[in-house]
Amino acid sequence: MASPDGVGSTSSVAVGAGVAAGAPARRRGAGSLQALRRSQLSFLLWIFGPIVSLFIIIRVIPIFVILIFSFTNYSITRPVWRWTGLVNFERLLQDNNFLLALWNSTEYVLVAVPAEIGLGLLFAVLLSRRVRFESFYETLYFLPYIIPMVPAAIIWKWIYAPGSVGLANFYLEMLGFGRVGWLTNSKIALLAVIGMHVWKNLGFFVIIFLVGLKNVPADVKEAAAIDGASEWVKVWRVELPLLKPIILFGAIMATIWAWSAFTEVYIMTQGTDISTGTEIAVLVFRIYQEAFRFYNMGYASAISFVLFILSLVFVLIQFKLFRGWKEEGV
Amino acid sequence: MSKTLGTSLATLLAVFMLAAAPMWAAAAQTEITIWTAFPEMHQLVQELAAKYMKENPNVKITATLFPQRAQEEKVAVALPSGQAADLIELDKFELYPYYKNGFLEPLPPDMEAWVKKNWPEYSVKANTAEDGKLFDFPWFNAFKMMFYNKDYFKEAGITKVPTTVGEMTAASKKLTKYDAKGNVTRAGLDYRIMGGGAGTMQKYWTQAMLPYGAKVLDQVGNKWRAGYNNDAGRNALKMYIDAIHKDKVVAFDHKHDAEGFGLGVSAMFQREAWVVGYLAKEAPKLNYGVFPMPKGSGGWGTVGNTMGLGVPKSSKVKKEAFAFAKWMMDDAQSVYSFETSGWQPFRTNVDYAALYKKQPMLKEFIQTSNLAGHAVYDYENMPAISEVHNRMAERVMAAFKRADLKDNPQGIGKVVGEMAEETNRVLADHGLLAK
Repeated sequence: MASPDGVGSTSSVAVGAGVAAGAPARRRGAGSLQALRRSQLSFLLWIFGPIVSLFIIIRVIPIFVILIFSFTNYSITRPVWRWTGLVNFERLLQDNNFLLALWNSTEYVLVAVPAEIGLGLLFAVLLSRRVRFESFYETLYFLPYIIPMVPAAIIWKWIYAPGSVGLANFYLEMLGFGRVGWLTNSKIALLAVIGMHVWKNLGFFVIIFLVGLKNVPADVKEAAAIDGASEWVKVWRVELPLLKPIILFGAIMATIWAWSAFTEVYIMTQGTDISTGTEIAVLVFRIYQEAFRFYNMGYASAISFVLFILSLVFVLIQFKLFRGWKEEGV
Repeated sequence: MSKTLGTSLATLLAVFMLAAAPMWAAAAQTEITIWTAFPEMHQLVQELAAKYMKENPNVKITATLFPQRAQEEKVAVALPSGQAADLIELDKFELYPYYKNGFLEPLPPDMEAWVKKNWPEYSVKANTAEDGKLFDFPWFNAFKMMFYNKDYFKEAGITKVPTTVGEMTAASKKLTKYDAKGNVTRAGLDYRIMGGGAGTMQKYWTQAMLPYGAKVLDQVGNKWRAGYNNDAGRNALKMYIDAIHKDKVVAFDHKHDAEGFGLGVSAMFQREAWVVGYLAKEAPKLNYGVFPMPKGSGGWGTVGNTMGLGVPKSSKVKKEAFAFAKWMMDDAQSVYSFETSGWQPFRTNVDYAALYKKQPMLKEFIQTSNLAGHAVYDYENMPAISEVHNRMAERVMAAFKRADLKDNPQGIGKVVGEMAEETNRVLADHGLLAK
């Protein structure tokens, strides 16, 4: 009798001999499969193990360490510290400096993210049409992104300098307008810094959205054109929906960058001249101050953990919103 | 064959010894590392180090500059972990907590005796810890005086420098200039109303609190509490609020500090001796003078805080580090340091006559620091002092921007009261609050 598995005479002899004779052959096959799987798993472990371990050590474990520190009065200048429970978190609720920084950071996110995404999409859509000197514009938009933040912030601090010394006020006065206290007027100082942040990062979003737009299948656009869709409808109903994954990625990056803004705020608040004081302090600035100016690592850890949770919540909300957008078929 | 072998071996040995000689020489050298926090000090330290190394070829000194705030952060991490330089230059109030926690080495007895003999009493006292030991070398004195523009004074008809707070306030009103829109184009007195943390608080303490007799901290035994929640403290804040929002002798939207003074944007401002060298370089034609901080109803004096040199306990070359630090403060190097960096050394009994011929303004700083009846204040030796001053700075800078505090004693009282509560909370966190 021919063996169903076509193994040949051995197998047919084995079949003829009964189950006992057939079982060793199946076990050998199953054993090979298991050995193969073990070998594959082992390969994956060797390849990904080190990088995942590094990720856990550098990215994941510190989160738990910070959480533990946030329940203590740990200070790097004091060798002895103790468990304080929720004291640090209770203090946060009464700390006006923290509450101001929380408000500033939230304002930062709520202004910077829509500005970066909105303007990024606008310029990307414009550049995706046939534009002369397109490469030149792309370079122009991307240049601020590759300038390091420290020199960029210093230059903008000079632009925003008070009196006629600053470039912005110099041109405003030349045009007949009054001076603006860019960094001295508490109502607009934070917006001025956010403006600088958006200017710096805009190029990144323009480029990623432009790449996405250029990858929209031509036949889809042609079909829309044949159906008589206007440019606006083509953008809103055809291109943007296809760009959703990239917009989601952009929104998450913009959110994380806005929550973690520090350098520009630090530069704008330091120095004996034209600095804003701490009214534009954001959460990361507060963390830095508590940890490295006042050495209150425990309290700084509590603020860090709050920031971590806030960022996570915002990102999760974005995921949910985009999923909802997808389900509606917009 | 054996002769050839012997010759070859001898040649090899000779070549090896010649090649290895620099390494042995380096191994025999003592290496001292020093971290500096101010650019002009760094240049000075490098020059002094070069001189010292010439006199002491077995010593190698490496100086690294970290801007002040970065220096503080670096020390915060490196010193407790034993990774700091052999000599650390910082404000003494930043060094003190490290001494208290056992990370800094006190001065050896012979050096302590030398400092006590050659330093002003207030400096020795300010750098002595609770255990009676000097915890750092008090190197430079950040002694504050008022700089004034002589041409502006003459133009305004002011014939003598102010000696009281009232005279100074009156003069500042005469000296201020405005444009057609009412913007301040020349500050009559450039109060320090913005800028990073403790520096702003330091100037506020000097300009307003001291003359009204307001203390930052009251000491009760070995504990502390806020010393300014009183009329003196409220008058100090009122002085600034009136200057900004009532008399409008200073504003936020013009150039400030030494640069503003050098550009002629202010008629008076408060700073340290380093400005003399700065103006000699940046505004050599500026016709200016200096005068002591004016007297007030509560007292007369200034803040002359210590910039010190500390030696970590973890240093493996403590003896050599102390020796180099002491050498940097001998007579010749003190004159050189004052001339090069502009910062005023604490050393007394030094003959600066030759330096005064080149920079006569520096004489005023030395003479004023020895004036009878004129007190020189420094930060208290307690671990929380930096946090107290930094937090007060945030609150006063926010208050300076509030026009609603003009003619508002209740508002000012509330600001000062809340600030004092925070000071006491910081003290309580450190277990230092007096009941």
